[in-house]
Amino acid sequence: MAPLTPAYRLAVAARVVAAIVGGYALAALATFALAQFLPMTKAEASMTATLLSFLIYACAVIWVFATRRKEGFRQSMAWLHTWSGLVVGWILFAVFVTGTLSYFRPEISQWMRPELRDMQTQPGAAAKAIATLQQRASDSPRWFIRLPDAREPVVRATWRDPNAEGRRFKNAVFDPATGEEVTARDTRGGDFFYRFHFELSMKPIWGRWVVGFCAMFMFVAIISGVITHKKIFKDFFTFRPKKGQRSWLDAHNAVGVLALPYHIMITYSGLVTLMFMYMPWGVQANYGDNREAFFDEALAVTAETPAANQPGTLADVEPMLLAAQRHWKGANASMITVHNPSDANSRIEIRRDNEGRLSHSNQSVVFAGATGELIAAAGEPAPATQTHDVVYGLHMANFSSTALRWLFALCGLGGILMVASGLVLWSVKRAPARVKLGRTPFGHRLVEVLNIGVITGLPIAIAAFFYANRLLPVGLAERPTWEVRVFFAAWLLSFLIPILRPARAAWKAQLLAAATLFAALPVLNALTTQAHLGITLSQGNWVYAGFDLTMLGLAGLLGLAARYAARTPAARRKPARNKAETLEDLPAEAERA
Amino acid sequence: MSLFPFALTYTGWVALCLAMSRHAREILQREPSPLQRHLLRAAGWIALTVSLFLAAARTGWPIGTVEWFGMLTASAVSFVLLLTYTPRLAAGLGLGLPVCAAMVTFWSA
Repeated sequence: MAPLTPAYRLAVAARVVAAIVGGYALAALATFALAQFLPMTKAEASMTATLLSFLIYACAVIWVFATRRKEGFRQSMAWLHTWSGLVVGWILFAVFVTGTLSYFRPEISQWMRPELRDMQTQPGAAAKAIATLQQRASDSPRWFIRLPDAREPVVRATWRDPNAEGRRFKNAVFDPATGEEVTARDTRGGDFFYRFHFELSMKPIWGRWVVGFCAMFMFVAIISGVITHKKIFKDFFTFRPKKGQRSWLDAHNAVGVLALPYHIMITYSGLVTLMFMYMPWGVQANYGDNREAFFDEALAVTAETPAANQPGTLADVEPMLLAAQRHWKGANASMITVHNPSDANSRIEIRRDNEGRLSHSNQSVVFAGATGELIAAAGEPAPATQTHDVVYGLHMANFSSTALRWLFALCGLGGILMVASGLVLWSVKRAPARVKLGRTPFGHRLVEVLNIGVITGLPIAIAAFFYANRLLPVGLAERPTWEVRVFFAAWLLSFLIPILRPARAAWKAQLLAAATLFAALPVLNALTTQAHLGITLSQGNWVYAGFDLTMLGLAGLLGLAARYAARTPAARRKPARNKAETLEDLPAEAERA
Repeated sequence: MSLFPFALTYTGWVALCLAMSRHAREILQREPSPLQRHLLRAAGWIALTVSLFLAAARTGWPIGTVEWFGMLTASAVSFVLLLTYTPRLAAGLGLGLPVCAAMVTFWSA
């Protein structure tokens, strides 16, 4: 390891700043220029340039670090991989976990409202929901109505409250059969994980930038990791258990390489979901501050019709749904947006579901609310926009196919394990250094505590969140907030044992605690609700039964991890049979330990 | 996702793995001849390609391609895990899985 002289520290700091700030500036400039000079329509050029911007940023970062060492390109990439991975690793772990849970957002929301067990999708749900909203929110400028489907057979309505201060949107869950608000416990359900995934429960603007920064360095870590991995093809099928550091590296490589298409896709598409916020310069180049014009042109977001300021009524929505279905050649509607519902110029926008397609493109049909006349329909987007919509759709994974969503969830689990094993590897690799030193430096101890607190603490917090959902009194004021408080309290408590106890004991205790909590969750569910396995399995209600069974599966995985942590003594490492061969076997990254 | 394309991706990985001498020694206790290795490698790539076409034929190219990538990862992870703990079974399933998948498909059709 290079000596940590002031000059060395200064050089590293300079490069870090050059990579983060300079890299962004370079990417922003390139995006601005590309948007102006690409030989396409304005909207397409802005779109293409913005889509490419994160690739440019990543290349700039690699370039800044490429000449860091005399030892060569691969060595400098190993350094970049190790440190970019470590710095953003803990947040990435949480982002990966909550993101993977978000593949089951409707199912989690259902499970967290056990009173809705027997809800069924119903024809006529849309009209009934509109009738209710007319009574409750007739002065609202906009209603969003999510139609029921098999995954979440209730109507979910969101509307803007013109009189409210602060949080301007109101939510409610309606019974599809009656249109009345359901009497279920108040909870944020799966939406909590979904928002946490890209906002971390921070102020949205801050959370999104933090997650975007981490995603960018995840992308850099993936690229530098592939460059560092010397034997990507030769070791493709290799996993050697019970060999200490060697095994951790094998495991890290296996989950990284075998799910590599997913890791690249999910990281880049994650950046794309918020790309106009992270990299506004491509739109800026062609539209200045008139961003709305760009969205109208490129994303075919229907221009809003100004209100006539005269009272109007809404025609029956069912014929409009049928007309929209005919327009889509049989596809179903998933969402209805009503603009200015009490105005003569009201508009009803109907969005199609994602059955049989990847693209998240806005295939809306717009009707005049008062007459039910079809006014406009979104066409096929241009190529760059279509690319954006497909990439966006891949990230959201609202696929109709359950099997495909499970494949994504398994790949997400691969990502979780990749980040976790990478973090652990940092510690494991430095174990010999600690032995030589005879003590644990503060930095090593800090990484250890953070590793245990995050990797085992987050599952504990998630379990606690579900426990709170079942155990908090139903009438409690601000119930959803209390569920979230329990989540964070449990997570904070999970740092206690790692701080007080040696690492191995803490790993073992907390993994065991997490496994026990998940295993007992279906039991608690049976004790507190009528939506438990005894009933849901015999009913074939796979939303509820699937949730409980998945919790048991997670308990099994965490239990295996706990057993592993209990069995392998920390310092025991098999002496290498042939030192020269072993050293040569290790990728460049490991030699630097 | 249908079973048969998934089974075929698994077979593809097994063939590509057997074409590597280190793994072949471990599984078959002998070194495959250069000709055998070429054949195995070709068979592996063909199986992976055919599974892509089968997946696309079922659900269309956009969804089919994504499904195929997912199946590649799922089958490779299961194969590597089996290979670590029961190498003979892992390789045997390369033949067994497609046969089972074909039978299941045939029976349920």
